[in-house]
Amino acid sequence: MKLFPRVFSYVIIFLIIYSISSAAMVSMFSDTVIKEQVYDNLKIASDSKAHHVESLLHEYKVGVESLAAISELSNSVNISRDNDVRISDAYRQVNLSLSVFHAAINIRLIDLNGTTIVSTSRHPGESPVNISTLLSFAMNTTYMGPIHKALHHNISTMSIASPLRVEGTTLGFIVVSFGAEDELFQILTERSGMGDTGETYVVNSDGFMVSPSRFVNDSVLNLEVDTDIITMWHEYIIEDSDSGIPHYEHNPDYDENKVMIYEGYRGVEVLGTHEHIESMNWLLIAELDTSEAFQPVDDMVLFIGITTLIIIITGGVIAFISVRNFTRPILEIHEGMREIEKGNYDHEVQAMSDDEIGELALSLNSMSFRVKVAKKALEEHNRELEAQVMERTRELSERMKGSERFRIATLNMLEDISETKMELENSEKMYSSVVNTSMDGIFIVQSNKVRFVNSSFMKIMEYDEGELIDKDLNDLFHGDIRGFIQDLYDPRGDGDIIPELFETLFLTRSGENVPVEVRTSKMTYEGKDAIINFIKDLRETIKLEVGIADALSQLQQSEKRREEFIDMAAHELRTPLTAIKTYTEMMEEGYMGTFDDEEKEHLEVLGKSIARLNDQITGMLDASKVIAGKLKSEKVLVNMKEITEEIVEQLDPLFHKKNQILKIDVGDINPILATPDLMRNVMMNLISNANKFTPASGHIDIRLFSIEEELHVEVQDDGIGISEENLPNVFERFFIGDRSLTGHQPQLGLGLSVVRVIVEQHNGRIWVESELGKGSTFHFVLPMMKEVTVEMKGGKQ
Amino acid sequence: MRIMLVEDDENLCLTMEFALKKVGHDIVGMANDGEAALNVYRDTNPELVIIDIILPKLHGIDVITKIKEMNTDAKILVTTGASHDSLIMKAMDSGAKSYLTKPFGMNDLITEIEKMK
Repeated sequence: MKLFPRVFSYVIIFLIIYSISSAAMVSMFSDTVIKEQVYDNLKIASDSKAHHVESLLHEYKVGVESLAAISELSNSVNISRDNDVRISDAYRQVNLSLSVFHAAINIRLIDLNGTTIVSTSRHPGESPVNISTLLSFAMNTTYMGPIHKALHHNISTMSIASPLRVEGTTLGFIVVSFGAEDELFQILTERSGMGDTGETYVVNSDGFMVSPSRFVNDSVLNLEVDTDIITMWHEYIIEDSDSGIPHYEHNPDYDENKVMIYEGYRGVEVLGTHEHIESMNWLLIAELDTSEAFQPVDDMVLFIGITTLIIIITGGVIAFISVRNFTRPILEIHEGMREIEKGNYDHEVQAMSDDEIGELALSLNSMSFRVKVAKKALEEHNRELEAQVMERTRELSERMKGSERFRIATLNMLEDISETKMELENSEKMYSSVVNTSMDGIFIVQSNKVRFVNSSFMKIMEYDEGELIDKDLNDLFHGDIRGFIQDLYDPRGDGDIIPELFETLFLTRSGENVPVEVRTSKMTYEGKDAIINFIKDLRETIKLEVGIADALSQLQQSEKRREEFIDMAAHELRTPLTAIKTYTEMMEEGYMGTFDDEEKEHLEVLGKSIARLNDQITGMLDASKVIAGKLKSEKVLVNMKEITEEIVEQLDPLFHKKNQILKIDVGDINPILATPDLMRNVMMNLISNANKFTPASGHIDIRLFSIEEELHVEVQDDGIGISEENLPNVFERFFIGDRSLTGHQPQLGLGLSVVRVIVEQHNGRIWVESELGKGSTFHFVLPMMKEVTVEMKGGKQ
Repeated sequence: MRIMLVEDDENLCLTMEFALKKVGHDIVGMANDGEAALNVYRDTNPELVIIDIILPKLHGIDVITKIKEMNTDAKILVTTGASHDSLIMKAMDSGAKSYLTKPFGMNDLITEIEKMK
């Protein structure tokens, strides 16, 4: 980013963050202040109204109680007095009181039977407070009756009753009715300072409004108020168990000073507070619509928002101007540097401010001035040098005139050379006859053009000589490698880069791509540098290679099939053998009835035959694998002494059984390079054969020794031996020894044929010396490692 | 034990049935090829399957794999006459619990079945 936008954007970001955060703080603060003020106003209104109502009701109560104390009135119910006198006295007094008591609209005196003795009403009718209520609640104290509609006027009234006592005994009641509209409702509907939506109203303990609503007509005792504030209040009205009059009991969690926001009875969200009027168990509520109450807050937020915007815009303009003034000298210097870069040393930087930047501009101007001076001096020096060079050149051409006579002498020499050239041409002719009869294709390239071809090359390319001579080198090659070839033969390049031997594709006349091997050599042709190319057609070779690969793959295929066949055959042979073995074992174990001792011996023979048959199958399988080279795995250094001892240990029980005497004699031998498993196989065969074909208490000698770096192993026994006519067949496959002499089936056959294959695979040889009835000696010889090699392999150096 | 036999050689199959019944096993099903083996397994749900690896129609390895798909807890004992170690390894990898190389006798068979319990 360039300098100016970067600095400007930093300033703007700072400005925005600063204005928005301060605006947020101011609006939060003023929101709190305004709300507190609104709440206070509402609280004060409800407080003062409630106080007002309470004192009015108190005034009524005291008034009624003072009337009850007037003797003319209490005497009216004193039946011990003269009836006419007490009534007329009472009547007079009542009317007098009514004229004094402005708010009262009716005063009546009632005896304990509920009979109205005196009434100021012309149509006395029934008492607004029935006798049972009076007997219950007004016997000893003043009773404040609820607001009700006057019987004949539909005027909201409330009645207060007080006991009339004669000599301390209650004999009747005075009931005074007051019009609520005149004084009580005046207090509540006085709405100065309440705005357009503010009101105060009173609700009784049944939840009905007992004062006029600002918004609903005829609300008194008709409008049920069911707002959150009433619900909450109801939770704290406790029925007094003694008097049955519901009363309010203070709960510490119930904060009367609380201002709430809730949905008012008109369904509009209002801000409200309340006061409890204890004497009547009323709730006085002061409400104001939140839309009106919070109008100042909204106005304030709008004001702050606009102010913030103005600050950002004016701040942005100021920042733009000051940042531009700040960065202008820097940009000027930057411009100056570019001019100097271009070589314009006359450019003068105009950034004249009296700070570090101004100083920088001055130094830049001074620097460019110095460079200008240095450059002029350099140009002057160059001019002087040029003049000197011209002087030297002139001297040189003077001297060259002197060398003219050398040239004439050279021309004479060239004449002699042309004679030699004639002889050279003769030898060239001889050379080309050799080239033309060559089996290899030959062509000569000079300056990327074909200059010479022989007949074999023409045959490969299917072109005549005339068509090939002067042909572009590129046209000989397959399209994909033309560019590459051009580089190879580039006459300007160093001759050494041409590879001496490479394979490529030539494009013949018929469009065939011929694989060829190219040998190149540098030569001189007709007096100029050239490249001679010897071409070998690889088409036949490749055909042969493909054929060999196919044959090899077929061979591998058939090898694999052969192995699969061998495996399958072994499986097929072993499966029926399993059935036989199972039956035999069942018979031996007594699952098929009982057998006598002789029969059991036969069963044993059967078991042994099965084992032998399986050995034969395994042997055949191994033999096939060995012969197929299957077991030809990696050869390692093998110690034959260890292997011999290992096998003898394995076979020890067999020697023990026949009480044979076994002797092992190991001379000074080195390890051999062999496959250990195969060597074990060889030793196992030879030693177990010796065990089998030697009678009890016979002798078996095993000898390992070396003669002329070859390992010799001999296994000699004094057993039955092999007849002269059988001797040559011992190592043949499926050879079975002489049955008549041994009395049981011999085990040579497969085993020894495998042994021979293994020994021969290890570049060794095997033979046998034997005489019938006297015993046999099996010999085999394997190449042995030299001592030095062993040490090298062992890593002793 | 409820055992199912899969063996393409009918004689060996009957032999094993005869032998195993003698020692008190219950032969619930027999099959002579791979496809039949799967059907019989589905119908009989045996506790143990004794199966030859080399089978006609469906290879023993595939049969073992499919049986394991049907029931991951299936107990399988493979038998083989080929001395291919790789084939036995494949069978064990597919889910066989143990193996017997042919020719095995009654004693080998009973011992191996005891181990499978």
